[in-house]
Amino acid sequence: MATQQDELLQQVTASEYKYGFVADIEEELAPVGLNEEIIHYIWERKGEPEWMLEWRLRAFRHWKTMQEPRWAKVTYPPIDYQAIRYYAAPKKRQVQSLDEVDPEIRRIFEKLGIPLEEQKLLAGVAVDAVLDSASVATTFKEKLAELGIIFCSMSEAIQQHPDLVQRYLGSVVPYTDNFFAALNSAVFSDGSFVYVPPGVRCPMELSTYFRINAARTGQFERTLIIADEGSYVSYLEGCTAPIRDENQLHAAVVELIALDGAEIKYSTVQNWYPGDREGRGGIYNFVTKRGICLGKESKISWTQVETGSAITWKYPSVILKGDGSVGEFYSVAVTNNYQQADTGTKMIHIGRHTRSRIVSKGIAAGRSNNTYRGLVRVLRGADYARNYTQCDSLLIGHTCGAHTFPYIEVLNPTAITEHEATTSKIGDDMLFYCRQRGISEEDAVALIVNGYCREVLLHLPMEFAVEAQKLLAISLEGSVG
Amino acid sequence: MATTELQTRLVETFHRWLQESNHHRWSPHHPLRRIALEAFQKMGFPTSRHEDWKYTSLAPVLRPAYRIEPPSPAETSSLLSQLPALESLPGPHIWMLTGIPVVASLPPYVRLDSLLYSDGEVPPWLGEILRPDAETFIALNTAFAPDVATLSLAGQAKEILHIAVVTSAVEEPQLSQPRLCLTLEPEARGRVLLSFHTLGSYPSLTNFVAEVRLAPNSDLELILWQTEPSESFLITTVGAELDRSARLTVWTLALGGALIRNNLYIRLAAPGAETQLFGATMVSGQQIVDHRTQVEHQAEQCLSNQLYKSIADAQATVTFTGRIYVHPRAQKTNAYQSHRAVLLSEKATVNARPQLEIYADDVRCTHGATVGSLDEDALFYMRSRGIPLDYARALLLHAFLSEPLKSLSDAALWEYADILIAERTHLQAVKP
Repeated sequence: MATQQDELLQQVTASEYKYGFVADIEEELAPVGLNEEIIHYIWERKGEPEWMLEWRLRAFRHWKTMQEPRWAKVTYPPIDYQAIRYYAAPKKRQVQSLDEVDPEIRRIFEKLGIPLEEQKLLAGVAVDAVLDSASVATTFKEKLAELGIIFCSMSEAIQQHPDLVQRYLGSVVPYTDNFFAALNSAVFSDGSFVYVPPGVRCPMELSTYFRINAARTGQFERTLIIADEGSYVSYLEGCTAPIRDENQLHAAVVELIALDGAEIKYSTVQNWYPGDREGRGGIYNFVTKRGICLGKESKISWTQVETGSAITWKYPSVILKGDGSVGEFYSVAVTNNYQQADTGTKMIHIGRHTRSRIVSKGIAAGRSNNTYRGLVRVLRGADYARNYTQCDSLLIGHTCGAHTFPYIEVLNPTAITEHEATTSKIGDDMLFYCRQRGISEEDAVALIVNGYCREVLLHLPMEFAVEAQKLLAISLEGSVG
Repeated sequence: MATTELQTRLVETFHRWLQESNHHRWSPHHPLRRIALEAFQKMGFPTSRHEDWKYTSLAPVLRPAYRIEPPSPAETSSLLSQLPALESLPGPHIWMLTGIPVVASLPPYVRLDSLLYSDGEVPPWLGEILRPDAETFIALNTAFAPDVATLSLAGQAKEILHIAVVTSAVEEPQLSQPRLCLTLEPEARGRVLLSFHTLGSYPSLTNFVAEVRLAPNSDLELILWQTEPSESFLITTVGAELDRSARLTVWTLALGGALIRNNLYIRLAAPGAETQLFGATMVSGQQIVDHRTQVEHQAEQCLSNQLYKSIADAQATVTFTGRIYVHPRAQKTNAYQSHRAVLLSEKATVNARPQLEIYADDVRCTHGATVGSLDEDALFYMRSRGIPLDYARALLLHAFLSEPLKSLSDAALWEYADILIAERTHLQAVKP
């Protein structure tokens, strides 16, 4: 049994990244390094209004005064921020229809299994494809426009909806928030913008595929989603990136704003290059994601399946400001080989009768470290706030680590918070039960892991659930013991 | 980190002692004390930016102009006449008067060694379980402790050994640094009660440090009794190392004091070791109680269990930080931890940080933390049976808080704890 398990373990750790390839697309590159000139360069290239330049420069000046955070349970060699290229955009930009999209770019998406045409035909997924930094193609735009929904690239939004952008950009994640948010604010190149008008239920899942492609190009997306009163939107984000030897930096910022009675559902499948079996290379993923339930009875729900990246530093949070608002966080994080994940959430209860629910499932294999770090804070005025947190960790092998660091701060006597966490391995009895019924060990493990994550996977939109299950299978392929 | 006035004064005092003292066994020239002073100088007093002190501010603790000098022999003897009466507790057998051990009566199974009491040796393992460079308050105690009380327990003790830790601040604010080393011989069984008291109305800071070594198959019950209402500050650090199949149970009853910080560092160093940690805390006014536990599973097949319950009233704050650390070789570990808290006032605060850090796969580790108010259903049930609201609430609070201490093996002590909890929860006052 033990040797068989070892073999299986060997197989898991041996499974290499399946989505690795480098596409050759003509790109326009900014000089390496970061200074005020580079910010001018980015601002000029993007043809942004004056106030954006000021905003970027303010962020940059503040960033220079900040220190890289070191509190997370991750280790990596120091990042030289002056050795990174902060802007890269594919040259051919003016696309009228999908047919005009660079065939090379389309080939990449086909390799990823998400051809745009198919997506278009499929149950109505509008794709705002971001290859490196600039938007390449946007589909279903007109259909959405009929309903008054704005779904475009951030650059376009800055040009065409400056009022909305000026009002909300940085309102949830100010550039002073943290080191990586400041960096992003200074140099962000593009991202997605969504505005759903009052009372509109967005009829399709909005989705973006991010990819990091050009060598030594950090990618800094900025996403802003505003759901006006009584509206609903579901947004999907999925990522893969090609194999590279050098570590690539990724520092995105996502801001969600839900007004009265609005609901935003944000789902992520993240499968960036995690580095090879010896822990070389891989993406550094330092992301700030935060939503605010500004209006009463509003709801923000984060669902994430994290299988990639060498380092994940990510805490999708919800500020529950409106009375009766709801925040949710469902997460599956898988780490293998030398991956390190420090991820979790923050639920800040400000309004009365606010509720939050956190379900986090961590799976650690190989020599990886998987950490849940979360904060539940109930402020004085949050009468009858309610929180339920469950975080489970599964360890596969004895060379990995699973850690749980929750922070619970309660300042209101009517609030109820519950936190529970367990750490265990796949039970021999569970395996035995499956084997007894003729299920191979490998299938049994897949079955158990799938069951273990089911609670989270159920919250993914259908389009994503399939991909997420595939990813889980690949990440722990031939799996566990 | 800003250097506080107290820190400067401490360092100056130490250097003065260095010049004044001769080279006796526990003089400031002792290499460990000098290492500790260096460590203290390097670390300084932690601010709230320090992760371990995130929720508890030391500012009010460091403000008074404490006297750093331990009491002189003359002062100690005059103190003896002013000692508090501790009728409801057994003994006491040993007093630690502002850091100086004084024996009242020693049971036969206990051996006490100390520089002042018996011209004894400083145990060679001093500073091994709690390294002076690990934390500021360990460093401080190691550098400044006036004496080291070394206790050794052998055989099967029936009665409780009571050590009363008293800090006297009758004439001026006082800093007290009692130091204890406790060994349980193989197969020994013992119960030690540590009660904390203050004399006088000036502020005092007691920085108590104890290192505990449990030999194979030994069994120790340690009771931390912090019930005296006072305006004093108390920081305790207990570090224990458990050998094969040793058992350690720690009960903490924290009801009194302006600020209490309890650090419990338990190392399960050999297979089969087992530890149980229980805590009951009730605070009101502006009291702050901060519990920190760290259970390190270093060997396989060890068990740890923690149950802490807290009630915070008025503007008081309770903080619980519990960490379970499982080393890669500690397979077949079972580790459990639970912290439950009730808030009674809209100005009270509860912070909880239950932490798991796990590097072995064949383990079963769980932690749970809840914060809430009293169960409305339970209250309704009692009221529907004619129990007045006040009394129903007191009954529930009393039952809630007594649970962690329920398994206290000494019936008399358990009864006394129960009375104290009943007093604090106003059970008798509202009885119809």
